[in-house]
Amino acid sequence: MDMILSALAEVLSPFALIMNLMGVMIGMIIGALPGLGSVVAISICLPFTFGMEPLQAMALLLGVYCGSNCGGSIAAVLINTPGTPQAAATSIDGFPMARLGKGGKAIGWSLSASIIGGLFSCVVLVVAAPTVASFALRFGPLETFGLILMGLTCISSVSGKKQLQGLIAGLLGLLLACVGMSPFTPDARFTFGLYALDGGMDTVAVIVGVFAIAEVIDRSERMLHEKQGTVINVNKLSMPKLSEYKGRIWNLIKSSIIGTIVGILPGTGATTAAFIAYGEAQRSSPRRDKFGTGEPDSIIAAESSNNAVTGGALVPSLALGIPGDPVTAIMLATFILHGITPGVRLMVDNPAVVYGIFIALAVANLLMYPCCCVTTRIFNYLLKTPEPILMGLITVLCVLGAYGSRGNFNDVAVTIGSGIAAYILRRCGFPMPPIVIGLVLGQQFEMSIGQMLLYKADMSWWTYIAQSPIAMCLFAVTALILIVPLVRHKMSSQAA
Amino acid sequence: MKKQDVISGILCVGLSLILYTQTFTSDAVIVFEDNINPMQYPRALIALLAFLGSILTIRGLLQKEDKTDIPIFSRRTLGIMVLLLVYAAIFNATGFFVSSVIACFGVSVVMGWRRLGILFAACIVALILIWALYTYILRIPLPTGTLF
Repeated sequence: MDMILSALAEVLSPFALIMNLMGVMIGMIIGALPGLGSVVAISICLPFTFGMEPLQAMALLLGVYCGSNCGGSIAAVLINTPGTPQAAATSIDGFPMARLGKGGKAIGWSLSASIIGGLFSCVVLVVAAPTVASFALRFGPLETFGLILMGLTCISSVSGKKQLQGLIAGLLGLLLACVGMSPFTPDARFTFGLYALDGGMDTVAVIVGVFAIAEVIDRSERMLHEKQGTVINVNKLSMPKLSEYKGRIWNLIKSSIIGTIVGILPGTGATTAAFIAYGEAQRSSPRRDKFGTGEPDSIIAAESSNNAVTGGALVPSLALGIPGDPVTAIMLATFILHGITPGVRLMVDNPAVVYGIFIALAVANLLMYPCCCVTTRIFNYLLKTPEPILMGLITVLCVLGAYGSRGNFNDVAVTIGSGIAAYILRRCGFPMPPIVIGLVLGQQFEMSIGQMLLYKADMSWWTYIAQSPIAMCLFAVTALILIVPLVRHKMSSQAA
Repeated sequence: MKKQDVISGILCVGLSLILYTQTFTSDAVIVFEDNINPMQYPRALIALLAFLGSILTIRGLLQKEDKTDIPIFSRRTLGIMVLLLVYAAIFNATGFFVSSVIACFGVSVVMGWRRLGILFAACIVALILIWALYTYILRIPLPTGTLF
């Protein structure tokens, strides 16, 4: 209890609160600008956390995470172009509603559903994360290896239809994690004779390059091929009255549950959650005939589920140190940056930080209301921001961020190099999240292999694995995660 | 033939060969008594990379080309890449301010912005704000170089 109160005091301290508010505002603005998304928003903000305490840093990033999820829906409603992929389902009914002159109301529905979905997932996070973490404390080297292996298989699920490219990208991430000193011996690996690489690749520099710099290069050409829709003017946000929720509460709860569960599953993400919840609402809503014409049920389903993913995705990340998506991978990288080791011992070693994260996430969800009011009012001006100037400034911020992480000039070169390489890989069809997941989990994975080999000693593999039912379960789940998409793909291609 | 996959696959195999040669460069490899060689794990990853790269190449040879309207390398993307490399090269030597003005200005111009007066003013104001943010709030010293 003392720990919770002290975390509460720290999260509600003026600086942490301002960081949380700024995070939500920045996230909402970047989320509202079509083309950029949650990952780019967090990559841009990550370098600003260097001088902060871990909890203040997490408050900023969680704010950006929640804000960008919600901000994307403003663009989806007002210009029929989702600011983030997860807001695509919102535009199906949000834009028709705005065209009927109820844009403020549509954003109101979207915002209230987002807040409720986000808070629901916070409750699940508070209950589930400590339970899972206390169970995971029993894990030995073999179980830890199984767990990290399971985390790495989410590379397969985040890769969508590009499984092979995803696996290659994941391997590149694992190899990037090998650069520098070996965890077992004083040998430098893959440094090509450069002493600057002895300390390894800076995770922040690579993340900023892979997501933000690659995005700048990509946008330079892509912006020529995109048409901007007409903006529907909205000056005032109109929140739905309690009476208007009549008959919609179950839809709200059900969609929040869907979002939270999808968030917990590795590699699925908010877009999947929004479309599953939308599909379920379309199937079960008494007003399903009105879907597509401006029906709030559809907006509620899409928004509550996509924001409920935030808390859900943090469950495996905080309890087990397994990132389910690129955003949580960046969060784990932030822990490493601040000297905190993510993994099963995170909740035991740093309970104040973890409880603080629970509270900061809830506060970020509540802060979305004032930030959304402001963003809706200035949305017209935001869209007029000249993209070339914005991209120029993002470039400078990215490079400074990479430099600032260790004050090392080589990190600038790593950022630019990884950005250019990531752009080429991306355009060749390689998904980017596996690189970051491989990079974040790489060192732990190698360590766990080493520890496992030491513990195994002269035992046969079968005897060693058979001693641990937990490890066997983890290996079975890993195999299922890998096999199920392949079987599904095979079945769908046979059906076609 | 899917050219992108074939080239990517060949590059993966080439990269794995280069990396494999790097696993023999260390003279002071200390092997633990439990046979944990620091190069064993990377070698396994490299072998897997070469294997997957080969599959990608073969699959690319068998598949049809996907057509896209947006070229990978265009004048704009190449321009931005060159600017980024120049930025990295002069960042330390000329210092934050000069290099960042060149980068910010250059990226915006390459991306099609033509009102140079407004752009220059916006760059200067934004960079002063960023410098103040780093120096006074984040307390991260930025390189001053020879030209500030």
